[in-house]
Amino acid sequence: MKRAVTSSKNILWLLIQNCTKCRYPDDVYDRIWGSYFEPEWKKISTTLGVNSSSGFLPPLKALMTAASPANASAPLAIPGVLDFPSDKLYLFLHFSEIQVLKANETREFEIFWNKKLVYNAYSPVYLQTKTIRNPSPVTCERGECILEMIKTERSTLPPLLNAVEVFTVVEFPQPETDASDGTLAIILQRLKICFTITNLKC
Amino acid sequence: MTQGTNYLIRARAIYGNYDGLNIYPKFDLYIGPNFWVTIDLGKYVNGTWEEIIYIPKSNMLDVCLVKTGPSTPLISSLVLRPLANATYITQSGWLKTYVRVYLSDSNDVIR
Repeated sequence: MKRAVTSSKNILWLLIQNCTKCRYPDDVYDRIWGSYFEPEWKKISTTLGVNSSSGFLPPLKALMTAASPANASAPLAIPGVLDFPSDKLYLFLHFSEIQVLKANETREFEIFWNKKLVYNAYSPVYLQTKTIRNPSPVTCERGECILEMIKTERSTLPPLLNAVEVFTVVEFPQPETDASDGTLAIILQRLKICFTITNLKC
Repeated sequence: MTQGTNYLIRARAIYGNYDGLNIYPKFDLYIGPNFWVTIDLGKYVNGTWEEIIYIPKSNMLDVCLVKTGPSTPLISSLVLRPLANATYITQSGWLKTYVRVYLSDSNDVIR
């Protein structure tokens, strides 16, 4: 039985307990990354640095490990259950090949969201980060979602994934308050105070 | 804040019975006039956090704590971090963090 991905908000306490520096040494944008792993996965890791060319700059520590299915022909699957089933989602998948491939080895896979193909024949580049995201928001039937990476026929290695971010979409229908709103009221208030104090024209 | 810049906004709330009432607060957070999220500390007795990625329309931004029931809203910290501008862009709406994980059997939190 798979453990479904749930909100990572319960890691706050863990973070506070473990916090020695209480700042953000690893992530330039101060994002907080929890860990997630399934028993049927195999961990891959490297001691080498990984290059990030896009602006996402996931932390090096998060990119230096990846999960791959222990059974090389199985998909790499991450199921999830939403708190609010009708939520629209954006996924940001951060990939980097961190295993040295031999001349006769290929890692190539397709990415599926709720059984639908969303990205075709992807091969992560050695020690280069790529972030793959859905261009428009996706939903899940009854709030049950599944992300799967499935190896292509020509691939000799199972899929991998280093890190993932999931966001829900919040719509803001109201325009923000204009910064100059209320300025007239403030001026009138000041004038009133002025008149009261001096009893003269200001 | 700088108008037009992409910000990661993170609010944290932990209730430690400061008021002696021993009732975990439940309230809403708004970004200006717009509903962001409901914080229900009864579900997260060890505290919780919420994040949103937002581009302010001016150099000022109001994050509002809205009382929605008998309990009094609280906030423990509010963080604003500028992001690279071309990242985390949507067609419409704003991104509220649901989960952010790296795949490893380690228990370390990376920040």
